[in-house]
Amino acid sequence: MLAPRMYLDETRTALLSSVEGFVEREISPLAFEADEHPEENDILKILPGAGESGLLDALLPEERGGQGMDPFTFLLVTAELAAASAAAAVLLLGHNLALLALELSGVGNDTASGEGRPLHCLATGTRLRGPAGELGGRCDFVPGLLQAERLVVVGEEGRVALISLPCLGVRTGYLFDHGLRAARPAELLLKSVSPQSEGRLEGEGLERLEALLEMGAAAACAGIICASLSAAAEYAGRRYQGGDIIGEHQQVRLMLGEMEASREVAFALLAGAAGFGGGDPGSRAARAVRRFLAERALGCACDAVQLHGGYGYMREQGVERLMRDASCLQAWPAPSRQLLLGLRDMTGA
Amino acid sequence: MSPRAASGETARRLKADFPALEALRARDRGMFDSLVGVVQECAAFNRRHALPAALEIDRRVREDHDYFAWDIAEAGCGHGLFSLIIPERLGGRGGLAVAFSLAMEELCSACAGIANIFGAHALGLVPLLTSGSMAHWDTHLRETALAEKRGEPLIWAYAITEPSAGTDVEEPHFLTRARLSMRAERVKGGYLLNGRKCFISNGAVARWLTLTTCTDTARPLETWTLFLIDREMPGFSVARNEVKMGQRACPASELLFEDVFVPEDNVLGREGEGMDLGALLVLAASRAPVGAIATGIARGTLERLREWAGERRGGRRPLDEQSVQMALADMHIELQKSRWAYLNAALAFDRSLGRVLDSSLTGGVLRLPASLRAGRNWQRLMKSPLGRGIVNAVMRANTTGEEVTRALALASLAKVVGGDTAVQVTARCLEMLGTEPCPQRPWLEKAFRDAKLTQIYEGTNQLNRLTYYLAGLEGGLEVALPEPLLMGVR
Ligand SMILES: Cc1cc2nc3c(=O)[nH]c(=O)nc-3n(C[C@H](O)[C@H](O)[C@H](O)COP(=O)(O)OP(=O)(O)OC[C@H]3O[C@@H](n4cnc5c(N)ncnc54)[C@H](O)[C@@H]3O)c2cc1C
Repeated sequence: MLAPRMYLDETRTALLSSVEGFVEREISPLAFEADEHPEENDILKILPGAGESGLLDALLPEERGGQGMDPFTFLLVTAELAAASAAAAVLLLGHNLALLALELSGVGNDTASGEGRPLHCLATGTRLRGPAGELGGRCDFVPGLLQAERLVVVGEEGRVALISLPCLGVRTGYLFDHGLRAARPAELLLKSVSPQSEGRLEGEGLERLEALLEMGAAAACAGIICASLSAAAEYAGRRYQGGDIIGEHQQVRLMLGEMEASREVAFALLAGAAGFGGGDPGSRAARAVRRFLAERALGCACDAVQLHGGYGYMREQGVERLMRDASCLQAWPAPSRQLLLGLRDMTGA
Repeated sequence: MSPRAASGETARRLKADFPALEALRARDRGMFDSLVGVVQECAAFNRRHALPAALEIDRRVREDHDYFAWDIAEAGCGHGLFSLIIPERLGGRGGLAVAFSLAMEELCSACAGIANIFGAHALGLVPLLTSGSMAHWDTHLRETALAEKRGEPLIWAYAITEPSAGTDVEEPHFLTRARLSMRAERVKGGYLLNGRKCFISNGAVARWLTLTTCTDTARPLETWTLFLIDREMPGFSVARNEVKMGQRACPASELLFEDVFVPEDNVLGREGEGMDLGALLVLAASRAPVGAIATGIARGTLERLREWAGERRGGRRPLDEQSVQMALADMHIELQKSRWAYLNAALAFDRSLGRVLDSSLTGGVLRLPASLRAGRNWQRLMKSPLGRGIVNAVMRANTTGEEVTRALALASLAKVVGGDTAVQVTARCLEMLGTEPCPQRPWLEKAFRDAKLTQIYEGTNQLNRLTYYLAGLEGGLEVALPEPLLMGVR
């Protein structure tokens, strides 16, 4: 389990150890191939297991057949998944938030519960145009768009639409091919689309959704930090160079120490911003944390590659993927610059 | 643009980016003009060949990592990219570290993978030049230049890294404790090589390789030796091509040596001189160009980001925003620091070891009729201990170990500054692009992947920091020029 013990009570420990088992059994073995050959959609093989582990309805209230997971626990789960595959984590993040958006906006969703739930993907920040039944708009980067059976579009002003895929008028534009590859992120183009149903997220609901998306991305960054640390530490313990295993050289210990520190800080920040003691994450804190952790994730991933020397540059080693995934999480859900300028606006200064 | 106008434009750009070159121009106009010519040739190659093919080659190698774009290598022949550092009298362009570095920056602004085909090739040639193995110049260097004129790339590679020794083979103190898997065993008339070299750029496509290994694993430093290898030698094979994150156009391969017989004549320098001749002198020459590779990657990325930022979206251009202007300024400042660092280092090399190649004695030898130099007597003299002693004396007359050590320190500095800049700039530019789909995106993503390698090869940036400390600050690492008269094993 990745999270420091201080954040774990009995319930969380039980849940996270079951998630850990699921990750080891079902995600880790296919993470590499799913990144190498995303077009084969191997990542979808994790869905039944995810359903069994309660990860397909994690945020839905129990009375609606969901797990009613609190935000912080959900983030710990996301980090756990991301340590094996950031793409898998982002795919399940999008799915769970899509369901939450439907729930909060009162849009009916007639799908089976639990394991039988079809995969949803989420497009946020979309500029939606047109009257109901004539929906138009676009969204740059939608993980899972090519894999999901249902698409939930959340417009900038809180308009929510549920669309069953495939659907007339829904097209994919640019296909992203850099990081989070297994989730096959793509540009979404909507023209004269008739959604299955529509609704609206009011101010607080929209803020909650945005905050959870940012925090989810931040948790994925925490997962990348953990994965970087564990890969680097493992390699440093067995690579011999300069008369010793490299883990004994101060330079290497410093780099590992920096990753260790990033990991500690990552969980502290997630806990703080997710309202560890209870309550929902606020979107200001969520954005600040995501920005910070995305930077650290890239730094740690880069160092993990560096610690592997030439081997780190080879795809089969699996650490270069961490760098590519982290670089995507610097720009998604929003690029840093935009985010920082936005934060200033949110302060009201 | 007419060739004249293009030349004027290149000259203006070089003067603006490299004030130091502008100063040199006052003293040596010919040198400056030849540098302009080299850069222009590289820019033409980029326009005609590299830019149209770069993304496609990158994609193709991802799908088939044994693919090598021979057509792009052939196109490089037409622009003299395989003979950049071969002396003019042997049919090359006569460039040294400065010319080579400027060429690398230019080529890498388009595609570092393609550029590295020519970069790793030159790296393979460097030991032949720096070891002063003149007997092989007429055969191998001339042949390389001639093949280029025929449009047939005759590619070189440089092989020092072993699966269990990377950092260790680039630093003398570490070599003493290295766990080496390869060795050359002395046999009648030469050596038998057994073992593996890994990550060798161009290894799969090279006709000739320069390689270092020891003749006694118990005394690796004392017996470290530089060899010239022909891929046709029985027992040599390519075990596999690596599947890399970036710089894909240039293959990196694991090479297998099974009882490869290498004749005595193919020892460059003398047995035991491999660390200085085959590594430190070479790295003093080649790390500035790696800084330039990194600089080129950062430059190409910034050029594309500016292009993106200059386009209007919803009536506004990102370029009009102060935050974007500041970011661009920041990144250009880092770019300029990398430029000056590699130019400084390359100048330091050209003013030390480079002087040996430019010396009147070396020039005098190269002015002798080629037929005489190719003759048996001359060849026998140059391969004899006496001939090597003479070459070493020429080296010592033209430079000192101290100068070369200084060049090595500056080269390590340039490599660190460049590599770190390339990684930071490419990551930041990609972040600024956000998630916007645009034509610049695949280039920036590729540059991000390409950039990381510049912190790893030619010694990790951590090793280079250590080398800078030892060679530049503390005096714990000194490059020794080969002894003029000593014979046999040191
Ligand atoms: C694509 C590619 C192309 C290459 N091309 C060539 C080529 O053409 N020819 C060639 O010979 N080689 C080539 N190399 C090899 C390259 O030079 C080595 O990868 C590099 O020197 C690092 O060695 P290594 O990979 O064994 O890493 P290691 O030496 O194992 O280093 C692993 C980590 O440990 C650190 N470390 C190691 N020793 C110490 C120490 N004593 N103190 C503190 N930290 C230490 C390093 O900094 C690094 O972070 C290439 C490599 C790649 C990836």
